[in-house]
Amino acid sequence: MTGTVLAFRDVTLTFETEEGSVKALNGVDLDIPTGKILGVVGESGSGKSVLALSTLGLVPTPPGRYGQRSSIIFDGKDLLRIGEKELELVRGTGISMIFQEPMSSLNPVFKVGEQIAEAVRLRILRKELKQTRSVSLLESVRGVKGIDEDRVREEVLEVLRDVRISDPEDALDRYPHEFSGGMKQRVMIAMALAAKPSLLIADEPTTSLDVTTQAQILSLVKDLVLEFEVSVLFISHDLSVVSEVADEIAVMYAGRIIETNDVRSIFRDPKHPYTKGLLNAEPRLEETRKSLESLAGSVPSLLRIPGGCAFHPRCPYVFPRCEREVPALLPVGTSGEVACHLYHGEKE
Amino acid sequence: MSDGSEVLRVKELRKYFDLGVSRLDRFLGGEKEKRFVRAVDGVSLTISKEETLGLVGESGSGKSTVARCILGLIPPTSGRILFEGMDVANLKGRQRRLLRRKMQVVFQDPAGSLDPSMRARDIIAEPLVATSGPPRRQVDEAVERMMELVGLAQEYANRFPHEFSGGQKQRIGIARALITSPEFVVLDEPTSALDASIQAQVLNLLRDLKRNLSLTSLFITHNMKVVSFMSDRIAVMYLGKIAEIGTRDEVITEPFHPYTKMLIASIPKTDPDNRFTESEEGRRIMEQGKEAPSPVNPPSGCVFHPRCPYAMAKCKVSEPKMTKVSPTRSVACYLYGDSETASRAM
Repeated sequence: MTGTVLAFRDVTLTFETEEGSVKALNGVDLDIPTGKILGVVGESGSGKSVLALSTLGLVPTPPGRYGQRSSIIFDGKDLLRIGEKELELVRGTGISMIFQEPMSSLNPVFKVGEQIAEAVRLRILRKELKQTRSVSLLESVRGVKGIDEDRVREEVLEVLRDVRISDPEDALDRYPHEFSGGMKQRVMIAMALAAKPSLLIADEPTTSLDVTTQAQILSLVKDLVLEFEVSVLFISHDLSVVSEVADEIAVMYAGRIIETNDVRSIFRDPKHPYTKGLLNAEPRLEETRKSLESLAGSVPSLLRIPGGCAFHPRCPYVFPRCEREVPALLPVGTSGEVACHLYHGEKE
Repeated sequence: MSDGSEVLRVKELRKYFDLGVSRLDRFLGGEKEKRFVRAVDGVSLTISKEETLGLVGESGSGKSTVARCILGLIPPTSGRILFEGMDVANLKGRQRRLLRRKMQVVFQDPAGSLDPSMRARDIIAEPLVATSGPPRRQVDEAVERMMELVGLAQEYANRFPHEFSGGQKQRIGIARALITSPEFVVLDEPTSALDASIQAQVLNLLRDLKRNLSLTSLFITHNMKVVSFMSDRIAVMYLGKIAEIGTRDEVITEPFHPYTKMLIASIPKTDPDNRFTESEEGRRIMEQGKEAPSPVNPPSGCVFHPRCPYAMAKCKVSEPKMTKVSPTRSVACYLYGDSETASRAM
């Protein structure tokens, strides 16, 4: 049956700044199901990207500070409490990440083949030779002791074929600037998969791409999940993009998960007023509404999150309890969870 | 709706950017071939009074360059832009100021297009002060009226741009564009930098303004859903050329040009039961795997032929002309009419 590849438990994250405490995450509980694509949707400032960075220990502490009871459980370990050495083992072997901008995530002075080979060598070093030492990119270009370079080259070619790059032999010797945006993102995905991770984190992987290229990359990600049996945390600000790829969806607002459900239920029967608002705010191609239903106000600053339910100042159904009490994320209906007083307990 | 009288006419507009001779070629002293980016390559369109024409295309299609030429911000390489019969490129002095008052623009990045050292009221007033310089009280009244129009509270008038949210900044940008009561407004990706819930607010505002003020506008975006919501007519651009132009219903519900079809098929659908990634068209786009080529060396013949699933032999050698296929729609594609009817339609 389906299990959980990674679990966030009561994750709170605060950044101390000159202007005060920025509460980026405020008690996130979320399971990433094994072998599925979990889409996390939120507008800017919802905390979705910092959630992704947390899984790889990429949030600098300080200035960031996790809560006492926060934990991120992966492979039986709490990623917030293991040392840098152990994190190194997780990064690029257990969990890989694809970022939004492929142009700034690839090293411009190394050939594409060398950059993918680095990921392959690291995996062999970590998983097969059980070495935890770090390897500089330069060292890995020259070759690492105990690693068969012919095998590395074969694996690089294979993973380039996996991401449907038509002439992998030719691609090996090219530099990132010689590729288009979509091709660069394919290379990024190839690097991430070369590590054979059990969890792939994709942070807005198609946001900087044109719509026809986006379509190609989304289809590719879906195919690869089946081929590689990898679980995916897919982060996006765009509900429609997530609806194309995700099996399950979590909606974030002001550093909290406010609704989760399988993708069909979220779109057919959204529960939280914010989720409803987001769905109705989206212009649709086929219809000709006179005006879009828009949510009033804007996303709150993480410096000054409203008390009670963080959404209450914008909510059309607000009642007094919402201003006092933070709603817990509780089961609703047959499959989902929602954090809203409309569904749980007395209205007054 | 439009009463049919023409406000803007763009005729065979071309804008090439000179890349010069590459340094390597100059060093080698060999062939010194000049290279050009053909950003806009023969675009013709008209916009009638009280009409919104949506100009949609992916990055590098030339849509923003068209806008900059229309606004007179850059001179065209060739072709003409006639605004109320005047040639925009050749205006000087007083006439140019008059044009500025009649033609305004809202830019994509609300943060980058507002002067951070100016107060909201001065930003909004600036086009009015710069083009006609009415007395102070009149300016103040106009600013108040504009702020009310775009839904900004009067007490915000003395704030600086950094004190506003993204959506509010864009409202300031819209108020600034409308203060001179322009006859024509260019909206260049006005909601692309905004979050979904804020985008809906600004789109609603723009729709209301269009209706209430009978605005004539050119709405530029890469987003098919947004262009479909805002436009009366839509022009689809690809690599510096218009592939198809027609009414909103024609282009959206029954696209003719294979590129328009591909664009529409590629849109994420917000419907998990009807995903493009699982559709036949989606699979084809995925398997074909090609992206738009560079406008430096555009393909021969029809610029779309390397990606076109219906490409024929003649598509590779000669360029299809814009062909009128209905009273309101023209398509540049050999699948619709031959080149003879095309030249007659021109």
